[in-house]
Amino acid sequence: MSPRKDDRVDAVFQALADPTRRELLRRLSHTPGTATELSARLPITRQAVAKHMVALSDAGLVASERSGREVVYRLTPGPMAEAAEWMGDVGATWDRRLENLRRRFGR
Amino acid sequence: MVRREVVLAATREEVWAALTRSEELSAWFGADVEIDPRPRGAVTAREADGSVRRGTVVAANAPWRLVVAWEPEPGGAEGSHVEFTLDDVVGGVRLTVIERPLTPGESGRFLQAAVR
Repeated sequence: MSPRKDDRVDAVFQALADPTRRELLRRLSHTPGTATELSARLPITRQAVAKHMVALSDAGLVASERSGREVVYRLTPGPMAEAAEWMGDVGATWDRRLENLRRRFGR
Repeated sequence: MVRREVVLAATREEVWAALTRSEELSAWFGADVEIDPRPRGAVTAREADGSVRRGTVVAANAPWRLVVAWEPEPGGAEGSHVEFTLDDVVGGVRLTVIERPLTPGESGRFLQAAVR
């Protein structure tokens, strides 16, 4: 069973709340990489990278593939677009409502 | 997460009434809303297209903070958590709205309650 859409949007927000995970996504947006490669360019261990990748995989933001003894991670941006769409829709609705409210109080 | 702020030329009591009285809320919300502004009070919003959203008041601290959780609908609208905060500022009251999707735990509680 696929997770509910709102659960996925929530998982994306949780995953993006961490600066290290955002940095890892930025790097994967250029090219796929292994935990070893990613940790070599960041002040964190290979194990820490692997742990962050679990959170990013759960949010559907990265996919992994075994290549020999290593796992290669690549970005899967679909859920990010879904989260952006949610923010766009909800934000536009609040802009409309708050404009109504502002007018109601006569400004 | 979506965050919006607006400064309203009103008192906190007036803004609180606009958030917690069904007929006042309906005038600006863009739906026909009924709200029972007490913790665990019911909220329903009938949209112009006939669809109905249901929610629950999570917290109501007059006249400064109101929290509502909108239920996820199986196969339909997403569940979300909306927090309204009122602050006195020069020129009136600042209303801050923060809406975020429900966490899987919050969403699960609603779906479980619906099954019972």
